[in-house]
Amino acid sequence: MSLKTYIQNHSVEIDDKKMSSQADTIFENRLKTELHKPSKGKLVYLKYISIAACVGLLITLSIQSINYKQDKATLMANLANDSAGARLEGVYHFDDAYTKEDHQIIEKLVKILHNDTNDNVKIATIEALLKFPNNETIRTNLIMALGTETSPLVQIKLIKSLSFLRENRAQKPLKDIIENEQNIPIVISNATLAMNNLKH
Amino acid sequence: MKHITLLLLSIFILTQTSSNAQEGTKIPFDKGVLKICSSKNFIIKGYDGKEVIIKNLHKIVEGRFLYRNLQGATTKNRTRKGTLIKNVSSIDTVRVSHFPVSKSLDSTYVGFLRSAQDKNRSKGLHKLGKKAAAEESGIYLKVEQKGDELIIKDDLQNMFVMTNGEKYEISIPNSISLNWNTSECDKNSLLYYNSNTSEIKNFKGEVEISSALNELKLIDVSGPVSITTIGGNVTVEFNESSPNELYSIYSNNGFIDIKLPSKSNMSIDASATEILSDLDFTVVSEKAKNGAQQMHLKLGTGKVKMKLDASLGNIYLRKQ
Repeated sequence: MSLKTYIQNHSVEIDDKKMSSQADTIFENRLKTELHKPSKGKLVYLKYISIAACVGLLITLSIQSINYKQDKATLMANLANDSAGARLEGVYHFDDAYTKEDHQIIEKLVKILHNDTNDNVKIATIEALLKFPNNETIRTNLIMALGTETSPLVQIKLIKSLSFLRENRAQKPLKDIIENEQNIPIVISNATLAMNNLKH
Repeated sequence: MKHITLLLLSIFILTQTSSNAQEGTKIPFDKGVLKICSSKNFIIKGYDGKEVIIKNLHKIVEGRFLYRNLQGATTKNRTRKGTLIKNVSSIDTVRVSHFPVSKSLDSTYVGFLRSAQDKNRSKGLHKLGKKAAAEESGIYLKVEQKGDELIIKDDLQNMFVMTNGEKYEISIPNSISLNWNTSECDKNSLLYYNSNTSEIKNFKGEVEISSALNELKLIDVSGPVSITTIGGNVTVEFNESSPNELYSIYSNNGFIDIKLPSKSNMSIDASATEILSDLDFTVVSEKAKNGAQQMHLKLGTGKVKMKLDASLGNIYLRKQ
């Protein structure tokens, strides 16, 4: 078929005006589908991803903090338990699992240090508190406890701990312990040793 | 005058032993804490019941050695700690005891032995009254109940029982907790000492022990257990059970000896001069500090925690 006959046959389709109007709509449609729409879709997609990520992050963070809160709640409950075994469980858990200072827990442990009826709990508490040697509250409370404690094994633990901390303010209670004849020889000899250690 | 003006009016009376098997003193008590304030020798057994039952396992000494505080018998050069060592009879050797002397106390202790009354005259009769019954059964302990605490104490009021070899068996319900203090539950009291090993067997409640020099043996005690001792040795055996609850033992210079089933799931924090074992522990961490060993050991899943600190003593962990 010659070009001439083709044009004659398709005279209507090649009509300038008609074609242009058709082409316009087609072009616009194509423009919409190929450029604007996909780009919009991608953006929405990204948005969803970012929202999901945020939510995910929030969830993991909140789970973590819920876990921490739950763990801390159990720990605090254990520390306040009537059973010495449960209190010990609490103190050992703090010693094993907590690396950061927590004001509330330390406050509770300091109370235990002064008031608990069980020597094991007190000794474990001293060990746990030693994890934070730079905490001034802990240091002053250990010194105070040394001045008031009467149970030999807890006294020995306090003496060794303050000597380890090289706490010079412990010299006064140490002197009192050495001079108090009510104390048993093992306590006095440990105090003397610590005193020597602090003076040199 | 001698420096020690401790007046001894001692009347030596032969000990009368009685071997009649007693049923023991029974006290209904199945909830709360049994507090023992005594350094005497005990065999404590857990059982599923509702009563605390005290039996004596020693020979009953008729005629007891008493100290009485005589007011007015003042001396200036009295020794700070009155030490009295004397033989009560040819059979029983009296343990050496430092009895508490407070600085304000300005009087002399006098010891004497109360004589058993004329045996012929009292033949076929028995002493009336609760206290007399307890004395007759050879139980020189005082039992008090305060709220949810049952307290067993040495009968120290105005007298100091000097009978050696006193040994008691106490059966206690598994539903209660045991709190035993060998220094008479008195922080100002001097240390009392008993060289005989005390035992706790098959008890399923919580155990707290604070002791000076007493030797302790725990057999199949489920725990939780917390023990502090200055120089006493602690032996723990799991023969028919596996450890399932926390054990915490601190000692200054006694040893800690523990027998475990090899299939136990343990996580042990141990610190001692030497740690010895024939069990297949995984050594999680190890430190040496001032000539002492500090170790974290694991066996099986490591579920049950044990904290053992023998300080200047050794720790022995052995296979069942």
